[in-house]
Amino acid sequence: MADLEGELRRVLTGCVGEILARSVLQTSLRTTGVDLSLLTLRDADTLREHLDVALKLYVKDDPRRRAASLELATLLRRAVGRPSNPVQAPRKQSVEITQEAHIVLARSVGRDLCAGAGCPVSTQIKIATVVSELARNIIQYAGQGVIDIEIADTTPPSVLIHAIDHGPGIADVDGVLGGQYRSKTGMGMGLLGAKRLMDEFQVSTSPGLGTAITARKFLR
Amino acid sequence: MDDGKIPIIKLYGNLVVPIQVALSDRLVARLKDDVSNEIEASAPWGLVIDVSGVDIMDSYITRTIRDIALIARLMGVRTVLSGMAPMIAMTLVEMGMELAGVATELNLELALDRLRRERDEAGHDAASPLVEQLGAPAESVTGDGRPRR
Repeated sequence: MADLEGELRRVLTGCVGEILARSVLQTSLRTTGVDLSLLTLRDADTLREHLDVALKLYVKDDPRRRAASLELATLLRRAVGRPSNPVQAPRKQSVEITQEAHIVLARSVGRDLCAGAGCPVSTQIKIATVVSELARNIIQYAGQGVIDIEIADTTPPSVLIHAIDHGPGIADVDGVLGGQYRSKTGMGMGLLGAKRLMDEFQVSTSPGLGTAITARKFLR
Repeated sequence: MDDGKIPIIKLYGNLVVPIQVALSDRLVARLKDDVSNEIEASAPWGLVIDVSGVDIMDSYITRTIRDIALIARLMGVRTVLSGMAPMIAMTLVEMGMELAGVATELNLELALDRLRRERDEAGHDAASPLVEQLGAPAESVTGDGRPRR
């Protein structure tokens, strides 16, 4: 996003020259106490009035002054309500899963990451649920592992969940994901349920190496 | 290490379990024990598990709540699950999870109303002819003469 202060200064410079433009802007900002990074509608109008007064003082040519005034007003109005330096929400987080308490933690991390990226609540809940399932499987079957959650720059953007452990692996993955063990084995329902909530779901597993699950959900 | 437990409240002859915290596996497992023990201790008519404060219900939590309901039923107590949020209900359906055999109501109030209704209906059926002859109000005594709570 273009720097608002720079833009205002540019317009003023076009009318009154660089030195005066800088001075006018500084004085107006100081007098009105307006914070350009957090502009309200009233702030925008107040500042515009101040700048208009200065323009009237220094710019004799009417059309030119009116054009500048209009451009300043437009710049200010457009910037209302939009922080110019939004704090960037994190796009990727990694959670070590070594104890049961980490399941709840991983859920929150997943949910917060999605919330920060502007996901609808329904998606946040689905992601948190999938993370919970995968984290629990890690604790129950492998004892420890890691879950990475990432907002990926795909088109459209997606949430990527990566769960890795070095446990005993999943026997008959295809059977589990195909619904054979529904309502019998805990792991079956959790894994199958997680798969149903995501758009992509890949499981790599072997008794010697462990399990790696990659799941992706597109955000609209 | 005790990270708290979920309260079990006695209300109108029922047990009410309001879950208002993030459910860890330990809390949920402990709840199962606590509910079973409390049922034995206070012999309630019904049990309401209110999940309006639960943010996420995954397969384990859902299964355990269903188990609690089934355990209660084995002990002669009707269970009603109340307060499930729309998003959570939708997620469970999408996952393919079912809560077969568990009665549900939209909120705590409706759940308690339902239990009271069921209890009233059962009350009329259970009143013995002897009691009616003696003129005691049918609702105050159970079929075998014990005073109803």
